[in-house]
Amino acid sequence: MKEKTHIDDINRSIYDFRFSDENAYKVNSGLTPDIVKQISEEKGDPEWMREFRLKSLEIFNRIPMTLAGPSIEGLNMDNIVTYVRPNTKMHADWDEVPEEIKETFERLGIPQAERESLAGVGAQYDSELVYHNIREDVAAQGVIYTDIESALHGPYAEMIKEHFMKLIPPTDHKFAALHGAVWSGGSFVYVPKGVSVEIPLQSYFRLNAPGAGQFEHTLIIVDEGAYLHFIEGCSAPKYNIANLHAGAVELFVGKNAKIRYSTIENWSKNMYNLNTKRAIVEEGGSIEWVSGSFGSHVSYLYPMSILNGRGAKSEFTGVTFAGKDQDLDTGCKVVLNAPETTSYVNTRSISKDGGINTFRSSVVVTEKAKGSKSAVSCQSLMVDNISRSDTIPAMDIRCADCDVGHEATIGRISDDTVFYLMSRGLSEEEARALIVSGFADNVSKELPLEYAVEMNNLIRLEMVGVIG
Amino acid sequence: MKINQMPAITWGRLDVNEAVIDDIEFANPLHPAETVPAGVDADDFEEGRKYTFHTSQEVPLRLDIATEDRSSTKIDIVVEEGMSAFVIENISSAEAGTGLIETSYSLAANASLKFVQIVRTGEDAKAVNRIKGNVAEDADVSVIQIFTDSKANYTELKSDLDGNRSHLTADIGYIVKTDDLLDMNYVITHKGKLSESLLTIDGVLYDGASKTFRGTIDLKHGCAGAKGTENENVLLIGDSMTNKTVPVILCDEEDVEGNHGATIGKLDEDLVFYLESRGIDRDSIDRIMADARIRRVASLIGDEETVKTILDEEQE
Repeated sequence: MKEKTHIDDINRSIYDFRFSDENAYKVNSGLTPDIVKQISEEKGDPEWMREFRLKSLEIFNRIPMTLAGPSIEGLNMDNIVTYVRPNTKMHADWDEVPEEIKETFERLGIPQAERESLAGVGAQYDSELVYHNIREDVAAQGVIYTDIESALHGPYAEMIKEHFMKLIPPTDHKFAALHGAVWSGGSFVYVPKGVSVEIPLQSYFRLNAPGAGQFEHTLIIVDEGAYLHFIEGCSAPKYNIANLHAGAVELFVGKNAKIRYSTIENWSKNMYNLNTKRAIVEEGGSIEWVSGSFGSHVSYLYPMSILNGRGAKSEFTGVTFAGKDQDLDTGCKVVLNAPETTSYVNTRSISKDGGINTFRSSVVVTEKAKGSKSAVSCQSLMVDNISRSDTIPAMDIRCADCDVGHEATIGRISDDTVFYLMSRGLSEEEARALIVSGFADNVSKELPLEYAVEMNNLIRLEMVGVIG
Repeated sequence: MKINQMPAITWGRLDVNEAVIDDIEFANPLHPAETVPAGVDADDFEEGRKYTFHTSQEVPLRLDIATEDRSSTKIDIVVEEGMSAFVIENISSAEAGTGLIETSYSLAANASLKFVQIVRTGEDAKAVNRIKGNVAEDADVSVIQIFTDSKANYTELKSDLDGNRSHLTADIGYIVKTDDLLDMNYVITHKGKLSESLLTIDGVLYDGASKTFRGTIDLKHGCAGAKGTENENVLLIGDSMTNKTVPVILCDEEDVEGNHGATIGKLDEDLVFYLESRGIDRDSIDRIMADARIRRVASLIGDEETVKTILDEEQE
């Protein structure tokens, strides 16, 4: 057995910068009917939404906390500010965005990415979108990409009402109810029948205010035969008090349509990330989740795919990296609820420097799912002797005519491989970082090049200081 | 009351974190009918029977337990240092109702135990079957279980691999018939360095059957070099049934290896086609393939009398 040395994490200065929030409008901390009414009024909700928020609050107060996962004792809702509006409106030109906020997104590389490789960008700062834009040629195809608040008052208002929190009802769990009460920001995307958006859209969520919560709602409807790749990014500076992220993502995948939903999550390590993502897929449709989880103090994240039409497909490809002070409970849920549906889950998790990883999943095959197939592959890597990695998968099969497979392994970095790489001139630290990057290759190869580079940089940064 | 609770829970909606049965006071002590080989001490303890292996035994200690409603059978097996033991528990029912069987084993250093358990409580009886064990340094336990015919069978095995290089294998075969229930909870805790466990579960579910398998390999901090593996293969025969499988690995140590796998599904269509082309009808094919799973496990028992009884009953 080799002795370990330990070096502190490096300064994550790329993400860990902050600006004063003194000019922002804030509601009081805590959660009361008056605060919810105040948020609703600030946002100019239609009446149904105001009632929906209050009903959600009632559900939040009524239902018990039933989380199966890491402790969230450090999260006190009485201290969380649920709505922080930056002192600006939403713009479609970066030059009109206030300097500090613009600088934030410049440092994160968002405007540059928009210029080079995106069909549209939404940028949220605390509780509100500050920038939203879509390329003219994409908009000309009838693609709608806007903030939900605008959509609630426009020609798509009925579509929003028909779909909003129908996949994730407030009764689903306590933080879904919280989201229903105080949601703010996020994006609405509609891709018309047969339209293929060849270049990705991206929304980036930045939480700047200390002690605040971010509750953005993403609603995407991709109509029959259409295609969309949507990228979601998020980060925050680190504070000594808890921040909360309880967003919601609802994806409606039409007949023979396809959505690829990619996320690089890099919240600061004081963040409680209690996010809910769900997709429903109709006949012949396909949902592909690509997920990289690197940040947060505590994370609960299990994107769910409901395969509701014959031949619907889901793929989940994920990597989770838990370092010091992180307890990340991630995975996915799949429901095969129609004949000849297929799902494939492929995940990697890496634990180092005292980090705790839990892979949690469920595969449910209903009686309707004749001829269906499901496969889960889950691999975990322990980088040192002070970390932890658990896998808790569950399968619930109600149909004989199916084929379900599951495999999982937990192990460590092979000393032989490290030795081989060192014999080729790499330092031990470089060798280990290279091995971990290769281990996470399942996700990086599914991302657009620039995001794959970012992800590998994150791994490299995280691996600095680990010497076996 | 809650039984078969997992050490690490998951979403409550899946209804797998534990099994819930009616509150029952098992107030009716029931001793097994026993055939004790020479060299094995048999004594009463509390409300149960304790068997101590002072010498190595190739001849099995046979324990026949015919449960009664609210009966409670407690068995304690002690294998002293360097000794080997062979125990066969044959559990059936004498009457309808629910019986409790609690077996514990303790293996001293370098000891070995082959523990065979056959549970067939019939159409009217339920069994709550708990096994708990401790395995010391260089000791080796082999658990072989066959469950073929019970209205409801709640089985738990909790075994701690305390000693360095301690070892456990568990081979389990089951057939769950229409309207029957099998609920299993296996927790193997690795504490000793270089400890190893291997769980292999082969089962068959018929139409309307319900089965839950929870298997936890818990690799505790300090068990460097340990290796734990579990595999479940489930054959589904019929149209619809309830199969729940939860293979869990908990890992608090870097230098370990944990693996789990599961395959669940119907018979391969090509295999069925081939056998049908040889004149075997579908019902017979199903029966042959189900029997094959039980035979694999039965072949490990190493006691002709027991194997013959199992296979004869399966033929009926």
